[in-house]
Amino acid sequence: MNLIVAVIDMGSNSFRLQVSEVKEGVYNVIEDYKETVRIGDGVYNIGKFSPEAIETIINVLKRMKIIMEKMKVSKWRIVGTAPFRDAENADEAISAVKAALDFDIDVISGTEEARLTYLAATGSFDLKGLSTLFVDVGGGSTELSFVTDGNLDATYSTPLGCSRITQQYFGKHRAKPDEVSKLEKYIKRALKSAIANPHLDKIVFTGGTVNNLAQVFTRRSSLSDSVVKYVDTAFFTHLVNELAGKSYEERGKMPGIEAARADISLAAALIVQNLLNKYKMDGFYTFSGGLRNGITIDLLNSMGIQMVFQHIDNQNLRYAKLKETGRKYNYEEVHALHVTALSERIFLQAHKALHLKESDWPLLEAAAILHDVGQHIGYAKHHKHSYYLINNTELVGYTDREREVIANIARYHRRGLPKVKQTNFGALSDDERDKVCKLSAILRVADGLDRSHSQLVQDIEVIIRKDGIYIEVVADSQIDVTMELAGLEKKKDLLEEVFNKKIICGTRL
Amino acid sequence: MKTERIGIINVGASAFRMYIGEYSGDSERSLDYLVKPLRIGTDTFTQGYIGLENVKKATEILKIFKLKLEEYGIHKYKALCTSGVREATNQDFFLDYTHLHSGIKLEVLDPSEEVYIKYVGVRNSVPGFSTLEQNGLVFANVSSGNVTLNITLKNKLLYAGTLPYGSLRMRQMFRSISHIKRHKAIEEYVRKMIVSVVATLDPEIKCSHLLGAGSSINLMLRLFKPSGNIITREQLEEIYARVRMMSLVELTEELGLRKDEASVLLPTIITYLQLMDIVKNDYFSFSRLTFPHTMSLYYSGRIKDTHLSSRIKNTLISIAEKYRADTKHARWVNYFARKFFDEFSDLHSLGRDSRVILEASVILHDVGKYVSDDALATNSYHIIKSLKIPGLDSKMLLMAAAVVYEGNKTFHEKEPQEYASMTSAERLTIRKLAGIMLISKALDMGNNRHITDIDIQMSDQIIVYARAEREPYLEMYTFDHQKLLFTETFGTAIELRARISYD
Repeated sequence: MNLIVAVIDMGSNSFRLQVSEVKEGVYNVIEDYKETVRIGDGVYNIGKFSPEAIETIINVLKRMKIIMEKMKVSKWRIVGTAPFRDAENADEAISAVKAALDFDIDVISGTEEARLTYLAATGSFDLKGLSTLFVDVGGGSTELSFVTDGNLDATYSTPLGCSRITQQYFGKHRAKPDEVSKLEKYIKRALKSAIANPHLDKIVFTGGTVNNLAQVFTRRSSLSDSVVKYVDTAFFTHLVNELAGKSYEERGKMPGIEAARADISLAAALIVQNLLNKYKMDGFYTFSGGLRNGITIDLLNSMGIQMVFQHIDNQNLRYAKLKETGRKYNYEEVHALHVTALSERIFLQAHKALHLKESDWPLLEAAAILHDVGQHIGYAKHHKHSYYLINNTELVGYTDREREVIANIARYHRRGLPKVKQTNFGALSDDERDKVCKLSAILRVADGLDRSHSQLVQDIEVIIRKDGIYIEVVADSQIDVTMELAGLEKKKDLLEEVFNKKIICGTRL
Repeated sequence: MKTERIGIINVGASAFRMYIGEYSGDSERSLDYLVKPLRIGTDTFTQGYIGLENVKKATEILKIFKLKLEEYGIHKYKALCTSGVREATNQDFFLDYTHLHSGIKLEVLDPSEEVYIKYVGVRNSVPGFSTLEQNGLVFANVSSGNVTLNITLKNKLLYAGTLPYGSLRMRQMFRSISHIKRHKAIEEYVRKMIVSVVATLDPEIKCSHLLGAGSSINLMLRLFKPSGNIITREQLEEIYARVRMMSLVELTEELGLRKDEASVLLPTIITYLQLMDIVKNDYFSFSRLTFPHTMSLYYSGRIKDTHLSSRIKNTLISIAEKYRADTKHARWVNYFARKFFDEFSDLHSLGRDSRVILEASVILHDVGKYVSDDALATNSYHIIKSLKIPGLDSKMLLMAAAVVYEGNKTFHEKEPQEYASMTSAERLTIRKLAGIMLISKALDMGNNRHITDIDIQMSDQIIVYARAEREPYLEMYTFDHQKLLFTETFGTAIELRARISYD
């Protein structure tokens, strides 16, 4: 029986329960339950929890406790953030919860909140060699973490919660231009001291309301709703103006905006915009579930369990995450890694002749590692299932477009060649199609060279001549590689097409 | 007693077969069985389509079959094609041409239906089949085009799949390799199939029995002439050692086989030897029932699949387990869903197939979570529609997938492509079943079987009384939020009230 853990994040706007199953250094979220409570509104108005708010806290936690009991959760951590830090009667609420449910609430500081969010982000962003700012925009506060080359340099906590400043500056009506301007000045002042690093490569926002704003972007751009999203600044500036000109009710009707967050969306947007301007960024990333995932990882770490991506010998986060995804779908690891190694050998020798860049390798690497994951659904048409699973699974270190390209490369590792009339291939740009053809051509050959799944081919030499491409397969003289050569013959079709040359195969023992 | 004659034509990858049976009550008489070798699979598996020459040859054979049917005065016949035609890109041309010129109307058998018919046929012909399934059974139908595998343990179907490893297909694939080395290539290729299948199973699972069937058995019978229904590893290894490097001519001369039989001998022997490795056993048993005969029994209604319903349910549960869904919760929700379906029969006017679709939807409603939470509806839809479950045809699985999609969809998920070709009646059925699924799910929202049972009162509005030992907080709350689709689809208000038992 796998370990089941749960965390509850009690924020100003909502309470979230996340239940995870833990297996071999990987946690899979098996339940994500949310209730919008808006308990922060009262706190930021009157400075404490009202009796109704305390009743709400207990009722919501009661429902969450039922879910936890039934999912056989053996370890949990319940965390209270800004409203619990700020409410003068927080102890009263904590005691009431203890008496009713025997739950201990751990009220964490703003900097601890920032650290936990950063912890989660390390599992989703490759931070090597980069200067990155993580910003968690909550209802009651905003936390900033500056990270250089994967190391946490400094954290700041500011009282810039989107619920809090909405209450203070806007009240319950359409925002007036002078109110917006006053709030902008206040945000600027509050963030003035938090400049640890004047140059940034990447800025990542977390928090439900900013995530919801990013969802407006993904919906308007017809992108998938992934955990990590990228939003460009030009769009965001336009969105801020749009929000400022609308009443709460009108904002709630905008596609993608959650009605329950419509009132606080402008305040959150202004915080984001200020930081984008301050650091002159072209765009930003959002990352959902940051704090919850951070608490989960922290809880597991406290139990002596390290995540795969935290292992010191696993420096390459992207690679570790790809293997983690493969394992999730029970892939045949030795075959997948062997095909990846063969793909790399071909890529290194042929990429210049194919007009590919070195930076295209991570796309082929991901597709090679994951090309057979579709077998988890079924053997028949497994290349199409691989396409689906890759396209719908979060791939750390890759953008949405890159994931689509990777899924296509894996899609064409067997059977028919790419055709524009196929929806998946037709939806790509010319440049992406070109990459898919060339990289899947390499993958097909590499897969053919491990047709028996026995890892008999040790190396490959690719010699490009005017009259053809010579592929020499290196194997132990005692080993029969007939099957692999037959596999190569069968799957060399696309490589011949992209090179527009015949491929001649041979062996070197 | 009424006597009925039925004609079955099976267009296989390597031969055309016709079986004519006569049925009167429980008795069956075999009137004729014809086999005409024609390897249309050779075309399909190498060039992707059936060449015109073979289309014409096929037509000539079908003309002979047509005459035979007339000779027996048979008007009721079933003519079905398997992988040799199914996988050909010019399938439509083949079906049209042969119909026009021979008068025989061929149909293409869906792979899942093919697996199912073979499975129920063998199930009915092998004594003690249920015990074998209980103890762990690998049922392998090895034919020219495909190998179909069903792996069952404790009456749960753990694996069902049609794999492109048929003997003729492999023979064609490796035809360019010298006969001295060919056996090695086939060995490695079959090992790949075994590794792929085993990888999908829990390592703890142990199956002890292998049961073979399909056209490969005819070859085994010709080779070994067994008196019983068992072939041993020793027999296979002995002959394999002798013939593995022989040429086709040597094989025909040495073993007295026809050329078409000799060419598929090595792939067949290797497949059985490696399948025996899965069960770690030194023999396999087999069924002598031919596919045309099985189809004759099936289409004449002589084969009854008495355990179909429980087997499908067990299979659905094992699939839910594979995707880490809470199966206790799934069973409990299924209980409520069936109860609602039966009680609301006047309201929904749906038949038994819809009840099975609802059961599949309810048991599998959470499988997409395994891929990601973000697009639960779309993920579940993709997984369910891709399943192969003997006894549930692909249309029913597509409907089940659509019910789960309808019940779970969020605003950002795009409607699946197949929706465009669904009729309005099908869409209405999907909404009805999704409405029932949602209120059933709500009754076990906490995954805790907190509501022990329900009583339903139907008048102007429907009142569901939930029996529970304490206030079912979460369930009441969720039911209120989830009943909208039900109310909109059936036009009836529905309310959940708790009946607390304080015993």
